Parts: sequence; C-alpha cells; structure tokens
Amino acid sequence: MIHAEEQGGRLVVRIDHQRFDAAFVPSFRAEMDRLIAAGHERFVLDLAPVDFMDSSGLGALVAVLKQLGDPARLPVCGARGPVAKLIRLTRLDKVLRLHDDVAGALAVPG
Amino acid sequence: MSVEPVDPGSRRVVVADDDAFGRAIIGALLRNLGYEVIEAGNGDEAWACLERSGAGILVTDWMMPDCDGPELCRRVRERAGHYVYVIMLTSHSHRSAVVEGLEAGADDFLRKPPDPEELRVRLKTGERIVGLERQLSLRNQHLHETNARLCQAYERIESDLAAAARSQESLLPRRGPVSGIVVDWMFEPSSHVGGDVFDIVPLGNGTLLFFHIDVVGHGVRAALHSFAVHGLLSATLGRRAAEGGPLPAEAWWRHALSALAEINERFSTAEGESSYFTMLLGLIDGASGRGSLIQAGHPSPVLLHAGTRQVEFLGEGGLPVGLIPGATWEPLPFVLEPGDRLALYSDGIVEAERPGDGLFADERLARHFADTAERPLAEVVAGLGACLRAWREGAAPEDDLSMLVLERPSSGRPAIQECNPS
Repeated sequence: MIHAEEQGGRLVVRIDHQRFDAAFVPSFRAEMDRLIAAGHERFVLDLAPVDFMDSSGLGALVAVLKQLGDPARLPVCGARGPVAKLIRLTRLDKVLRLHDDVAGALAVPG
Repeated sequence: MSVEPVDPGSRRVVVADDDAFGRAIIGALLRNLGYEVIEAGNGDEAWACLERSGAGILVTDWMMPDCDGPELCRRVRERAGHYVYVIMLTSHSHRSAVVEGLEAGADDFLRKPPDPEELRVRLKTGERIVGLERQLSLRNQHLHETNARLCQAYERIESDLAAAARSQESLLPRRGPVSGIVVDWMFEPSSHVGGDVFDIVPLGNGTLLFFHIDVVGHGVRAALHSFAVHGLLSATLGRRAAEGGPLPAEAWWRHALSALAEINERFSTAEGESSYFTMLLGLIDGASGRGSLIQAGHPSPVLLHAGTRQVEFLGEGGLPVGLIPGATWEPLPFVLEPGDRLALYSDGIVEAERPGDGLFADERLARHFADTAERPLAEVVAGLGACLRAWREGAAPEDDLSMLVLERPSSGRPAIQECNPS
C-alpha cells in the first residue's frame, strides 16, 4: 500500500491506496515512523493514486510534517480531485510544498 | 495448556445385573482395577444409581426383568444429563443383537463371562471417552459463561452510548424562529455519537452567534472532543455578551478571533496525537439579515438567494482550528435577504458515496436547495436526508452527517410548515 524508493537524493513515498482515510492512517504513520527512524530525512510524498482523503488523513499528513520540522522535507505531489479540493479548502496549499508530479518535486533543490 | 482435574465420574461404574453372582464377580474385578463400583439388581435401580452418583460408565447385562439392557441404554441416551459410556454384556454375539444394542446406544460389548484383561482395556477406553466428553462440556460451559459476560458488557456499552447520544442531542439548538431567523437542522452521526456539533445562540439586541463544527474523525473520541469544543466556544464567545451586553460586531469579532487563536495554539502545539476541527463561525443581525462569518477549513456554506433561486457557495476556505500554529482568519460579510437560506454542513454530506457512482458533491447539494426554494424549511432539510439515504442506497453513513440552516423568513413562503412531527 505504501511504496518507498530512493530517487534523486530523496525517498519517494507513494501511497498506493485509493482512500487516505482514518482506516489507512495507522499504517501511514507506522511506515513514516519506520522510515524516519531508519535515518531518512528528505522525502517526496506522491498522492497520485489517492482518490479520497478525509480529515484524519489530512491530520496525519500534517503530523508527519511537524515531525520533520520543515515542509521542504516532505514536498507533496500528485494531489488531484477531492484531495486537491480538501487541500485548497483547508488552505494547506499555503503550508505544503505542492507539485504536479514526482519529477517536479525532485527538481526543487534542498 | 493446563491439565484439567480428573473427573471422579469417569472412575465410577454402575454394574447392572439381575444375577447377584455375575454382578459380584464383575464388581470385584473392577474394584481390583481401582474403580468405584455401584451395584444394581435391575434396570430401574441402575438408572436411579446413575442419576444419583453421576457415574460415567455403565456395565449392564442384556437380559434383565422389567427394564432390560437395551431399554436401560435408551433411557440413558434420552435422559442422562451427562455422557455415560455403556458396555453391554451379552451371552449371544450374533449380528442382530449387536445391531439392536448399537441402535439402543451401546458403546461396546463384552461376552459373558468377561475375560478380566478384556474388561480392563474396554473400561480404559470408556474412561478415556468419558474424560474427553467431560472436558468438552466444561469448556462449552466456560465458553457459554464468557459469551454471557461479553453480551452483558456489550449491552452496557450500547446503553452508555445511547445515553451519550441523548446528551449530545440535548446540546443541539431548538428548531424554529429565534431573533428573526428560522432555524432547522439535521444530525445523523455515523455511530451513536459523532464529532459534529452546532449551535445558534442569541447574544441579545437581535444578534445571533452561530457555529457548525466537525471534529476530526468520528465515534466516541471525536464526540468527546466535540463536547469539549462546544463548551470552550460557548464559554469564551458567549461570555462577553452575558457580562456586558451585546458588543458591536467588530468588537465581538476581535474578541472571538483572539479566543480562537488561543484555542488554535493550544490544540496545534499539543504533544502526541492531536486533534483539530473545522468550523464555520458567524454572527448575524436578525432584523437586517447582515452577517459575517469565518471559514476554518469547513465546507463553503450554501447561500440560496430566494429572489433568483441562485445558489452561491460562500468563501474559499481557510485553515482548520488546531492544525497549524499561528493560523488566522478574516470575517467574510454576507447578507440574508428575506427568504434567503444559509446552510452550514459537515463534509460527510458532500462526501456521501454511492458505490461506483462517486460523491454526492456540491452540485447535487446546490441543486437540492435550488429545487426546493419554494418549499418550507423543514421539508427542505428532511428532503435532503432522504436524498442522501437514496444516494447511499440505504447504506449506513460512513461519516457524521449534519447541517444547520438559517432562514430569513419572507411573507411569500410559510416559515413554519403545518405539521412538524419532531
């Protein structure tokens, strides 16, 4: 459900799951905790396969962002449809580093 | 796994034979093998002994007056409260006797007079089977008791939740007119209790405070947070009015926004698994219909313009409360003309899902309000509930569903419908 792969000096974490909701949050948190504990610091979060995100999913995303301490460490890409709408509605587009795709996120230095 | 205690019944044997000599021989053999033996001279007596002693094994002669071996065997199978291993003594071993004995419920047969070694091993088999059977029934009884305790616990949780649901509903505002505004709402938590809460509070001087909140998640955890948030908002935002009379809108907003900033800092900097909520918070003057609201990550409210039947979604979003430290909000002005309606709702409404067909979405919500523009408010709200149930095709809601609707009454439409069932 979660696919992690080193790419261009970052760990690209792809959510291969249609619903990023309360039921999915525990596995997302556990996997991110594991990757951070393994020493990874710079990520890209690829939400392209996600069709739906609820408030619990959004909360988990922000919690990981706080854990990393800097939004630049977790640029987000591939948000579309209801996911993009939720991010706009909650104005997290002003907080998150958003990109169209993984290539776009990797192109930003830092 | 622990070894269960040996049940004394499996070493207790009833020997039934009308021939006292034959009975005594078998009795002596069994006592030598360490069994506790109870002797009975006929079938009726043997049955009484079995019932009284709880013996697990019966060795019975076939031929006895009145109640013979097969008859006794049938009685044991029909009425005994525990399993009895039955060994039948026969002097004839032709097939028809074996068939009749088995049909009556015998477990084993022994030729008369029994060979002591054969008697020993057959009794051993009986003892093993009776032991297993008793272990099984003990475990069944244990399961039964555990199940009864679980049922009891479940019923207690259910009744606690039902009580919590009643207190949550008691927090909801009254339907009907208040300070020149007509209020109606729907509230359908996805379980007994939910994370949605809303209220409309007169601040005096014709001004009304209203809010609609959706705490992240649903169920008991969200409900507890929503209770807390409701209390916090009522205390901080309603207090000033009670103390010093109504504030002008601008002064009230200054006060409300600083209270909100405080709540935001407290939630967003909390250690561990934090919670946050989305909210619409507003102020309206019932007489003029002039109001303002802030949108904190909550879905944009529906504003139905009665004159044109146009539906507008107010606002473009805003940060939720308690998610990001330092968040700020800007009040957005609006006006309710006579007949206009303002609907505040949780995302569960537009995200109601029909399998394979997607979300209910803003478009359907807007259409519902446009289509029912001429209908009384209660009908609009009840109709939306029915629409959503139909959209889910009868499935239970995945998220809490709630909506608070404010209407500025007009003379052209009945403000209150003729018959209100609730």
